[in-house]
Amino acid sequence: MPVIQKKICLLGDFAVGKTSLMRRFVEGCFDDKYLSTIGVKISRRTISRSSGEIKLIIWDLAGGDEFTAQSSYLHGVAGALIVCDLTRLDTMAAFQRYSAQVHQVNPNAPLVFLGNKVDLTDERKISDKNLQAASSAYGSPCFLSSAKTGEQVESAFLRLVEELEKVP
Amino acid sequence: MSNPQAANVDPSEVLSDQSNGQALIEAIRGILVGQERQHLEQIENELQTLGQRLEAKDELALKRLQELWADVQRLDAKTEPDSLAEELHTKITGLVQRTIQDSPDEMAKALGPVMGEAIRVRIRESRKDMVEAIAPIIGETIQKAISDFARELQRNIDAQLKSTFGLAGQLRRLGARLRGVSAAGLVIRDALPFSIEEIFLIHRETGLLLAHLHPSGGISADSDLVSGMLTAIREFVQDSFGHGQEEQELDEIQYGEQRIIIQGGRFAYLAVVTTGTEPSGFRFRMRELVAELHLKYGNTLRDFTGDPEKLPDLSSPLNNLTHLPEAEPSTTAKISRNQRLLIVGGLVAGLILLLSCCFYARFTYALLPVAFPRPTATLTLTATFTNTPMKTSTDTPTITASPTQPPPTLTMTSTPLKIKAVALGDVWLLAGPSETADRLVVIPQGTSVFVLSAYGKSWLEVELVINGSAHQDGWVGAKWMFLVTPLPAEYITPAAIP
Repeated sequence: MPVIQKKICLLGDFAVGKTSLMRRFVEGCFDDKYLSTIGVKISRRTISRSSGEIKLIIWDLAGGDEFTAQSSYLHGVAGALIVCDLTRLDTMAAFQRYSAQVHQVNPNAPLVFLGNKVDLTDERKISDKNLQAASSAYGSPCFLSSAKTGEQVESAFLRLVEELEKVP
Repeated sequence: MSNPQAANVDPSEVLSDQSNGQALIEAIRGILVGQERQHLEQIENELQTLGQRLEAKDELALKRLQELWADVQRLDAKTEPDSLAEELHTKITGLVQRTIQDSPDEMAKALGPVMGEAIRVRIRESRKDMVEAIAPIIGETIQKAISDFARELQRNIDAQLKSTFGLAGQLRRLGARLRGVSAAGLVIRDALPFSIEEIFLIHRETGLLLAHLHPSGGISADSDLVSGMLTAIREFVQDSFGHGQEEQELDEIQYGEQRIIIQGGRFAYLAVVTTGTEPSGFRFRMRELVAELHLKYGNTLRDFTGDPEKLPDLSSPLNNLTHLPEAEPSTTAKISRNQRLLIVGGLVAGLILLLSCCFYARFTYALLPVAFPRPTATLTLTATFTNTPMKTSTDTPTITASPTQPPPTLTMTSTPLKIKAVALGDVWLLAGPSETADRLVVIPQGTSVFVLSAYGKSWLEVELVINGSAHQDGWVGAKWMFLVTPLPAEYITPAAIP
């Protein structure tokens, strides 16, 4: 059966855990070391579904204000995961910015919101309620994940795949 | 424990004998320390025995001791730095040799890092020595590499030369000249080794891989990651250095010996990984391929969202790119529009020149007899005077000379050069070099006449041939005649001689 390819992007402010989430999802591992992503990193994972196999080409984009210069990386995106850091309140503001940019390129692209670093309970600044409200505004599902423990990472990506399958 | 000796003495006897106080004491002593005494005696006996043994062994021990002492002295001598070094040298050398024989890989692995550093240090400290030591090896290696390359090049050139004498080869030479390079240089360039490692056809917008070919048969595990990264790199360069000029794109990436040649299209682009020097016309073929794919499958490429089932078979067109023609008339592919115009113009001019030459040659050939007539034999009558005897009134006849007509003689003389002229218009042939002279006959325009003489620059004496046989001489104004050849000076007289 032929493998369908889909390009998805990981978006969010710097140091929210995008690369760690991708590594956890693709390689199943986690590294405490922080190395800022320069430009873009591309990885791939094939998911088996009832309808067939889907190969996700995951573009992990560098976070930060310079994102607008790299908006060309969003060309042809089928869906996106937008990530915020639950220990930093300001990272939630990126939801709106990144959502707008994705929908500018592809209005039908499904989005999934992630509140990462849920394992850092003592340092948490963003509540479940805030996160839920933000995601509801876009009609998108949200997950509380941890790249360190692996919690909800797989679920978030699989949910995005489900949403992608719904798009004609 | 009771003293055995004391046990043999009846205590009652002892007690009864007061004079044996000493014995009593002894008895008591025996009771109290009898066992110990016995034990002591045993020890004494043993010691004695041991003493005897020792005496026997003493000599042996002494001997052994002496030997040990000698060994100690010897070892002591060995611990001297020099002798120790000598000893260790022998041992270590043998050990290393044995290890190398038994476990060469492990030895290499163990010594590798150290040797690398040692070489670096050595190069740093004595570069010249290292160069002298390595130069022969590097020289040979380079020679071998060049020989292999030259052999390959020679094979390719031979293949190229086979096509040189054909039309394609001639066109290639012409193209080389027009481009300012020698034909030999172009042959060498085309003969340089070239190979295609991989071909990627990538969806422009998403960076998803549409088709991939590995002509050399190698393994390419991450072709879809490569396609994504290539797309990202193109986007990055476009954003960073494009300055808004969308028509400019990244078209080549060089990595060591490999080169990635990129040819963009509207919905998809081609990336070919190559090694060596690409032959002339290769990029044109890439452009053609991309154009062909867009022409045939433009809508499919535009609407591609990742489902490969909706794609046509793209492997075959990509495969055609790997078939490099040996003798390719690439001049038409590489010559610019101006150069093409120049070629066409040159050919037309050449044709015109050729036609002109033919016409001129024919015209000249036709006029040759007029310009350079051959001398002809003519019969001339020349009068000569000879003395002939005449009759006189004397008695005696005397012979006197008188002119007589000798017989005609045939002499060869050059016929005077006939200058041809053509009438520029209808003009009267006059009887004399004057406007008022009698008119003889009309010379029609374009009629050829022979010029007999000239009076100054204004009048020409001409001979007109009428109806092919009759001749009519007369005079005509010079301005009405076109002289085919210039008039020699001797033809011109200041005064007319009718």
